[in-house]
Amino acid sequence: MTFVHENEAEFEPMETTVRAILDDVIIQDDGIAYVDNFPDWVMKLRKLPATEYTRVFVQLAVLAREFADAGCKPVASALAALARIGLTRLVR
Amino acid sequence: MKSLIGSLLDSGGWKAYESSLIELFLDVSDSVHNTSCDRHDLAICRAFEMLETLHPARLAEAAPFFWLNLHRVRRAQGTANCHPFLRDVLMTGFDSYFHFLPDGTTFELPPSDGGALVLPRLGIRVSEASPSMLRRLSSTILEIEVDSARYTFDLPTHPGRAATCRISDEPPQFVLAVGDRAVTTSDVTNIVAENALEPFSRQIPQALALIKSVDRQLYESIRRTVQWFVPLMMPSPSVHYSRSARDLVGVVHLSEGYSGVKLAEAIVHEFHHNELYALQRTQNLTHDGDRPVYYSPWQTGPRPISGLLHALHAFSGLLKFYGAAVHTIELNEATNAWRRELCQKLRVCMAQVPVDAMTPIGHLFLKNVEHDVMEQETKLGIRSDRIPETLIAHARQWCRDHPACVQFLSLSDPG
Repeated sequence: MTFVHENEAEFEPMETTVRAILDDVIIQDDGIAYVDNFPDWVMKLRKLPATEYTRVFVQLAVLAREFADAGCKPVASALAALARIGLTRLVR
Repeated sequence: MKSLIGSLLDSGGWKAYESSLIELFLDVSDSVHNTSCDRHDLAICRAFEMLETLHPARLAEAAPFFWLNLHRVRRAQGTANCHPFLRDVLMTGFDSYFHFLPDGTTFELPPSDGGALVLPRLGIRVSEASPSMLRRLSSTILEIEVDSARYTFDLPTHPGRAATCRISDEPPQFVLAVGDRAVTTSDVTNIVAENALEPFSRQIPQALALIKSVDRQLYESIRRTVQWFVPLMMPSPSVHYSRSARDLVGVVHLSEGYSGVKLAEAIVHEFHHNELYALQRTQNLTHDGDRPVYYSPWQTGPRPISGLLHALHAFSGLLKFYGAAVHTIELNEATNAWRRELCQKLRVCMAQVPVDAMTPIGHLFLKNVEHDVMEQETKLGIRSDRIPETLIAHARQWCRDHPACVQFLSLSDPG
């Protein structure tokens, strides 16, 4: 599994947790989009030591940006909130 | 019957909405932790740390007033206006999560600028007191501190419970007759009918029973979406007014003069606004933004697309309600004339929506309204293919009043 940044020819393995969150991204035929099990993901990410799992939070932030660029606001917003759980702890 | 918006909410929209509430909490919580500097800020931080111990799914169950105040804090972040709203966040948060917080949990409140003690779910309101501390002593005993004096409230018996009346269980629904900043939007704070708790608590269940007899699925949707009914006072009982607010999903405000089928109608109307607000919190129906330039047959001023969509959803929902009511209630000729007029107004309103600006969900929505109107026209045995003179006169006046918006008006006969 690889993680590709849009503007760079760099490949980074996608973190298992990020892959699992991505598997919970629901985009329905009727247009409704959301991250399933969002409350559980918040709990799980809060328990991760931010310094050890930096890439999880960075990858979530990059994914949030990509969903935002694709116009999928609900998913972008949810992923950004998940990313912030770790990122704010890293800078505090 | 269930609306399209109701179906979208059930198919994932409610999950997205709940996620957005948790996101809001996380956002404000981050900001509180990052900006704390004085003693009050640290006390607020401690309170947020207590709330953070709750599972986020539990967090999402808070009363709508908690979210209203979090929205206010987010908008006021970085300004001196933030503290009163943070106080209201702590108060309504303590109220919402009282039963899930451990004994001994203490929320120290920032100084107040006159706000009362209002705990809507616990049913306590003390106008004279501006407490500096709230503490849970046990699952039924609350302690507050006012001017260094401490008072305890035995929750099941305290007379302050008269502020709220629980009118049903599972899911609970309440009438709240409190005009206080912490539980109202600023446009209605001063017109809450605080003495209408008792009559309203009798009338609302009757109106809900009427809705149930007409359309059980609609009733179930209302039960799930609307938990709070707030009576409003008007200059005269014959003046009817109802209101919902974007940041208060789950609360409807109704003037006390409503009764019988008109009260049921107002609940159905406001429920549809609530439903659409919940969906719009996370899902875009349009790319157009909030430019108030469009004509609405129900308004004198120009409206944003969102206003048109709310009108379409609320009034087509009402039209369907009355369409179903013919089997249960004897509708008089005036009501049937009003239904015919509603079909015409809905058609005119639909014509104002710039289709190119709609998202896939927005297109689905418009198609559904069109279908609903057509179905009701068939039931009424009419075709709304001519625009009545009164509506044309209304539109002409609108053009005279808002010349800059005339380019957005579309008034060709739909037929």
